[in-house]
Amino acid sequence: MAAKILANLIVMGGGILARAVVQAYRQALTNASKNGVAQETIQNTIRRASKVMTEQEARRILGVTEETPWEEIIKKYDNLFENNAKNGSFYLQSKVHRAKECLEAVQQGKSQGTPS
Amino acid sequence: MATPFLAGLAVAAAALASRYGIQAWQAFKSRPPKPRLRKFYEGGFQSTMTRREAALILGVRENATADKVKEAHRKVMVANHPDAGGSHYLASKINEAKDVMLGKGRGSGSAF
Repeated sequence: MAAKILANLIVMGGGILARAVVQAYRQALTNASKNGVAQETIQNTIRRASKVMTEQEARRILGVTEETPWEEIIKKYDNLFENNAKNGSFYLQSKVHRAKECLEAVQQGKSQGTPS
Repeated sequence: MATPFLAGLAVAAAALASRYGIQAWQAFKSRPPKPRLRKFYEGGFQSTMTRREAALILGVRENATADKVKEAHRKVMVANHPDAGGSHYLASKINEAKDVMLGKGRGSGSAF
């Protein structure tokens, strides 16, 4: 008699728990789409192979052109980096730093000449 | 009969703890002030700005109030203004981040 009641309780509890899990998952999907996390996840998956910043974007971030000399680029980078360290945000500081790294690699490629 | 023995043990434990505490405090005081190294975020900006990236750009939480968002936008824009040595690209990104945080984005951009 007691075993039968216990089995019934376990079955009912399992059903309720499964339904709750399904509802929670659906709610999580809704929240993800609302906040843009899911979109970002998809973009990150696509972007994971190409995490490096492009040279064009690096120049736009630092506000320089193709003909800007390297000393001026460094001056611009130092100015932006210090400003964002004091009053800006860490994310923008990161982007400025990555932009300089990208242009540094391009500069090294140019200074070493054509490898052909 | 065992009470003095236990009392002795307690006193010894307290003495050892105090000695360890003093040593730890001296070590803490004498350590050099090392800066906290945070890893910079990788890559460039995302093609479509999300609320999370907008919050990161302005340095606020994702659920910040409109007043906090506007205050942060003003502060970050002062740091990156094109007239003060900043770049137009960063300024446009900061303005776009403010619009995203205040809900003025064009279209909801749902992924599902």
